[in-house]
Amino acid sequence: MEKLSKLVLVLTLLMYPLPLILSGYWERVLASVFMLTSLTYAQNVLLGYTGYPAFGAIAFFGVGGYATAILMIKAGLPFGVALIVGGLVASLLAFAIAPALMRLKSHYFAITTLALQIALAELFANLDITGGAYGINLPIYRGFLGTQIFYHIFLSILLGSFLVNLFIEKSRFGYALKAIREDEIAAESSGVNTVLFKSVAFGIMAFITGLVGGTYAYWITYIDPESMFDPLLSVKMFVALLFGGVGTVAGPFIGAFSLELVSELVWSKFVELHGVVLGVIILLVILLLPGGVLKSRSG
Amino acid sequence: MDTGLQLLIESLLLGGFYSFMAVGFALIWGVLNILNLAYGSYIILGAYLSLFLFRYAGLDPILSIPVSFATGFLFGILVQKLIFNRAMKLEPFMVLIISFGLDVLISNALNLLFKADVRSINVSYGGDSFLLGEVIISKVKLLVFVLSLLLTFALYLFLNRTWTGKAIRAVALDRDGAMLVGINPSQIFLITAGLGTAISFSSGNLYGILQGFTPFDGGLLTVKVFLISILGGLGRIESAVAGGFLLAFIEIFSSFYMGEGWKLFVALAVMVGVLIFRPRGLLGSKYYGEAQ
Amino acid sequence: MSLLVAQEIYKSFGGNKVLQGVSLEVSQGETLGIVGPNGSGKTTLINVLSGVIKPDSGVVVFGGRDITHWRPHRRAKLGIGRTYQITRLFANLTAIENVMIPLHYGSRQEASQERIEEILQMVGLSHKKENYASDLSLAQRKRLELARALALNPKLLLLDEVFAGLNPVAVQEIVSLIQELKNKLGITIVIVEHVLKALSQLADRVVVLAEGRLIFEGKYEDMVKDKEVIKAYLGERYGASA
Repeated sequence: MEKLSKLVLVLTLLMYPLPLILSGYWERVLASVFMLTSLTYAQNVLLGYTGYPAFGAIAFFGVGGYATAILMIKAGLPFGVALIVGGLVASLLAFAIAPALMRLKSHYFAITTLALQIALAELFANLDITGGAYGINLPIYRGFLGTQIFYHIFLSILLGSFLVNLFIEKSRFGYALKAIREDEIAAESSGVNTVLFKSVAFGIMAFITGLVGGTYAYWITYIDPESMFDPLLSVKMFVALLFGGVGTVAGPFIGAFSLELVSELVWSKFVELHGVVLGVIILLVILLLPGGVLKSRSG
Repeated sequence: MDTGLQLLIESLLLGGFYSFMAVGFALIWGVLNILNLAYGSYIILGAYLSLFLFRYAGLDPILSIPVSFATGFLFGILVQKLIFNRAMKLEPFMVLIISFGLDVLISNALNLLFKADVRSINVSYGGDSFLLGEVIISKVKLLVFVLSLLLTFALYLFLNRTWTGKAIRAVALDRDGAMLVGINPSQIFLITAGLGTAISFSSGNLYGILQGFTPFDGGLLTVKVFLISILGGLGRIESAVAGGFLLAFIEIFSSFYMGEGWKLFVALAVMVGVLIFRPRGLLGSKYYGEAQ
Repeated sequence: MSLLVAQEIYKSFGGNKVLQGVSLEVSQGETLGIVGPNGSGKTTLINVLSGVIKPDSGVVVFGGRDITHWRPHRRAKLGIGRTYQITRLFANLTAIENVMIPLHYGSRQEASQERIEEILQMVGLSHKKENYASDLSLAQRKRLELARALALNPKLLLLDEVFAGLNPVAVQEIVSLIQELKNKLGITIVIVEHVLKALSQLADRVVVLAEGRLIFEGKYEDMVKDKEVIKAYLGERYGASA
């Protein structure tokens, strides 16, 4: 394992006991940093290793969040079970539509996933089971550790998604994805079932994204289509990934931590300017650092 | 009263405006291969500009269309020079993200300047309507419809009759071929970016008298111009016009028969289907998902 | 015995009829050359045989099995390897990784370090094994593509203009390499080629494609004398006077 990956692993593990000394404010800030980092790792599986930019990946954040909420409220399932099933629902949806969707490439693929995200938001704003435009209220968690539990859940999803990236970096499975990223036709001629593998990659991305969405839903205890299908979250995730370095194991961590911490500092200092500054950051990151801080070569 | 006929007329009136609004987006996409996600915010910029001129100079939004056009043209060229010329050298989806960043920037800057309140431009002829047979026709909608058609037709003439217009179409069809016959693509890119943005700003004037607006309405408008371009297809003005009428038709009928909340979902569902199963669009001459 | 049979292959793109009823057979161990003017449908034929393009009609049979509707990755596993006119390597992966992928996914062999090195040795790239594919010279990239096809442990190799853009020395080196593969491993080869000298050294039999139809089939020596072929290459006027 290269040095940077080791460092990420050590840092991640060191953050488990941190709530003992952190204030509630920093605990919440870090939880949202972990959330963005996990989303970025999920996107790295697809864009970084497989070469498909799912600009509307937040669709699966929404599906995971709504599925978890509905399973808890309507089916009375405990959160843990609802969360896993919610992630699976997002993942199965992705896997099912992947063969048709992934015939499109580059920005056509990107924009179609964005259309899917907006379409789902519209659908959920109209269905009864999702509470329409009013959304769904979830109970406040009062069990073990109190709301600190969300810090640990997000951190664990971050750890898991990091390990998934590490596995892809090193394994034979990962080489199938990299082959698709490099040249899909050549991958087929080399015996790689590209439709299967890219669908699996899409499914993995959706699973992690869905888990994050499910946890987020229970964390904020109130969800509606606007908060669960927020295009801004997609963009932050992409900017974090592009800033840190696409197709590297440490890149998403570096990118998401720097972006979210900077964004948080700006947010608290200049509440009014936040959106403007975020827009400027997006432009600068892409124009000045199109390759990211870390370069992926062999990946 | 014949509901179907009323809905059809409403669709036609709205479709005319949609066509004009989307033509600039389709032009930029077709010629520069840029899917500009900030386009909706450009329209809103135009709306605020015309509101400003209406309030402080007493200029009617229709009379200030030339001002919006000229401002948009300069703004488009400036943004192209500062941002998109560099971005176009990157992966196409990076351009997507950049244009989204621009959208975030513009909408938040407008929010700082004007706050998030709904603004509207109350022209004196705003509320009037008349009966044509059994159909009620709003004067403002009819006016916007007629102006949209005229402006779109003017653009059509420009693209088909002038040397610059023909050069723009040539670059859209075949960049390398156009260079061979002595057309300078980077100059054409600038003019197209200017022209497309000028159209967005001008349609902002019309949007402003049709309905109220806030700094954050651009996203929805971007979705609409994108829908129109996909439904109609790329490559020709006629496609954007067809897409515009089709979107208006889908919106008006689905919101009447299924409920207001469903209209965008129905349109998006149709579009996702078109993207996957007929990537040329309904009238388009270009294939969107062209694999390498 | 025929290893590969293509029957009545038709393919159009839009209104452009690229293949109009092409049939051919390749025997076990044979090297078949395909020549023809630009746009005659050679690459499309290779794409149909390797599964990259689906024909509008016609049948492709390999080793007695109808594979017409098989996707390329299944054909690869069956032992059909190919190269591309413009190389399609995994550019940001190393030579070793380029070979490892087909070895693991295509041939279902153990992708051991020794086996990978053996294959790279065979194409003369041992010294470049750690290099990224995009950093190799054109001749080296062609060799690496050949190595990638060989990693499938192929029964049939489809070579699409391997010599295009190479200097005469590099051409001769790769000709020798292919001859060695043919003799040592007994691989059946279908080779599309513009460089006729190389073809004359390699092909046991030649077919000529013109406007999507086969217009000649036979020995290389006979092809260069054939009136139809000369006409197809040089046009009506020259053909008539030849």
